[in-house]
Amino acid sequence: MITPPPRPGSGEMAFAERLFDAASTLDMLRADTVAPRPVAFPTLYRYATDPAFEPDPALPGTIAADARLATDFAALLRRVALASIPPAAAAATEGEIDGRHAGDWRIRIRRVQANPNQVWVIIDYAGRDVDLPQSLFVDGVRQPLPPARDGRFQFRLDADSNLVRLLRDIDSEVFLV
Amino acid sequence: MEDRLPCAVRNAPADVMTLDRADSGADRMSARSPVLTPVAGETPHAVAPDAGPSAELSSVFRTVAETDWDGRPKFDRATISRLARLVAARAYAKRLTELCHLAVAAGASDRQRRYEELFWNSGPACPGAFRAHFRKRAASGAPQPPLAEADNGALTLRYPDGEHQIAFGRMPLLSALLEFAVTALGYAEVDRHLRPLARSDVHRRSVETAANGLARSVHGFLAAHLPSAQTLRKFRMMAAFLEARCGGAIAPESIDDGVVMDFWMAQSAATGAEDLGVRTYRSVFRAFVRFHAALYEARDRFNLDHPRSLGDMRSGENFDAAQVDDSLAAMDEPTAPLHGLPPQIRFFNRRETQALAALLFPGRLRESLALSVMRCCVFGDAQGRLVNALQRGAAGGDLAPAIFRCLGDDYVARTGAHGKLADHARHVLLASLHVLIRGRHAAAGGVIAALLPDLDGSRARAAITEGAGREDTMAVARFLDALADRPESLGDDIARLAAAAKRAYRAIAREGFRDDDPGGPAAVERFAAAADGLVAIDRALGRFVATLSAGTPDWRRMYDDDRPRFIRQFQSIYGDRDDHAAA
Repeated sequence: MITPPPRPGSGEMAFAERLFDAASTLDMLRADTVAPRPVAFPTLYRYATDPAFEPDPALPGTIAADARLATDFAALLRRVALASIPPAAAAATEGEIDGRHAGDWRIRIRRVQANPNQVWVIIDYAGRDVDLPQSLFVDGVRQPLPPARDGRFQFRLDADSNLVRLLRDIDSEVFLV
Repeated sequence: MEDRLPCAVRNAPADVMTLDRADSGADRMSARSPVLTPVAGETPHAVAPDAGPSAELSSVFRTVAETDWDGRPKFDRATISRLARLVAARAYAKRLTELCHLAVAAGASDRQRRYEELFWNSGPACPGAFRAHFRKRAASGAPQPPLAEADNGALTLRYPDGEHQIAFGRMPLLSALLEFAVTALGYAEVDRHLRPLARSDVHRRSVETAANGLARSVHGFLAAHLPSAQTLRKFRMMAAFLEARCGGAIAPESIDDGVVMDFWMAQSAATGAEDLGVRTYRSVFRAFVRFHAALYEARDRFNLDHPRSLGDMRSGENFDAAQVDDSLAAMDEPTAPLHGLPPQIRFFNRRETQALAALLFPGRLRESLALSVMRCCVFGDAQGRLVNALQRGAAGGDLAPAIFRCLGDDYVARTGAHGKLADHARHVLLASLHVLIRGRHAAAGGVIAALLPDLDGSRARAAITEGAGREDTMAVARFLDALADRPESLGDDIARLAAAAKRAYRAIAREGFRDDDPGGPAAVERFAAAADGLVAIDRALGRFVATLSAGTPDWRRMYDDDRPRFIRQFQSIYGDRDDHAAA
């Protein structure tokens, strides 16, 4: 049987139009592009959950500079963190703070007596959970935590380091993962 | 003389300054001012250019495709290819529902009900990895309701209002779909839909609600990033062009070399051609290959499968996504082998891949579009070089010399290049066969069967078929041992082929092909995964090269005829508009 030619507007043509659109999209998806690539989510996930994972050193800056990425990363940290100390719970004074407190967790910043250019970051845990955090995150910046002793993590940082500045910032959110 | 045509640059990319033209003189062509063909029934609103930043969508997709896990691709090429079709056909709704069920299972397998652990902490996405994840969690006592049981083939979820099963084989695709959604929409948005499912008392209907919400979000993203309005307009332009040319009848068979060339000549220099994607000959050629495939598939479906369901449809109505997906898979078949090759092995370099993309199209178009392929490869490439020169500002003030500098091979030379590409494809196939022989992989049998189609009904022939493999694995193992250790015992043809495969392997110095070391089991598996695709490419190229020489076409004369036409059209596209208006 000879197939009659289709007419524009027929169901057959409409279906062909749909297929043409789909095939064009397929070509577009496979096309090379010079557009910047977003950060792959598995990279974010491993950065958040695997203390041994070493990402591109630029990653914290990339997170801080991209509003959606920062929102995503904060949402992810809220999901995986053992504790989060949000800005509202941290507010003791306006501007800079020397400590934070939320639930069973307390973070303090104390000057090192022997070296005024350094500070102690002291994290105390008053709870009973067996799982303890291995990393601290503030605004996308990760700090590996030393082993805890009697529920206390303690480490030294330069007083003018980015992490100390962020810990003192009343607007930043701290996560313990 | 064409070579002395002075002409100013227009329609150059935005960052190229428009230059004053010199007097074009008597040699200037008398081009009429082209216009876009109006399409019946279109309103300005309906055809308004879509502002969709499609580059962002491509970038999202490439990110998913290139995601790795400790240096290994997270998703294999087949999964990525399937994901691309799912997105392109907008056939993801059903799979998103499955994904939501899998997220429930993932959460139920984790002590803290984190579905994320399955998707982002279980290594490359393959059925075995998912199976291992659930087994490990089951052994540690972690699974919670509604996750009921897992066997070798599937997981079962028992909800208060129904049951659902998910095959492990499906999970890599669902994982890739989640990766796409997260990369496109952001984790926070996806988690907004999936988080409510992390409860032991979750109902099946809640899963469907979450899937619908997720589908709406994905749809919204695609709607904002796909240039569907331009695509629709292009389709209708092409249909109107064919209808006018064929006297109202539109059929796939109407598309030939003349149609492609005439359409490009008529539309490529018009205002708006860039937005519509009809500026370059290559894009017009590819559009007509798609147009042909779409017409062919639609007719096939319309007449054979579902005449009523399609016949009653009108433009803008929703078709069954599964029908679109099936048809798209059929349309994609010719180029699918190219997209399925494992990236760790450099079978083809970038230039070869580009050439293959132009040559791999449906066999039924091979003869009717042979000249178009040649035009695409020769003048399409030249146009690409010209555009690059204009973008760099390297064209200077005079367009004509720039055009002549960008012209490359003629058709005769390109025919030879296609022959060399076909030889290379055969070479790569043989080299891959050597790896499979050395690795004693059963896929060697399929390659041998493809390369020696006339192999007699010997035991070798029986052993290399898949059926024989199922019936008698020992026989296949003996055959593979003999192939690796004593190929001469399997007959002269196979012995010669094995020797040729060894020579081919040693002659290739590309990534993935190392001297005297085909690699471990993982490398052999990659070659095995590529085997069917390489066979398909080898066959398609062989047939195409045969078509080019069939009937001893006069490529020299055809090139001489085409050359001034393309040069004139390049002048029309990139020259000064006023120049032609005065002509």
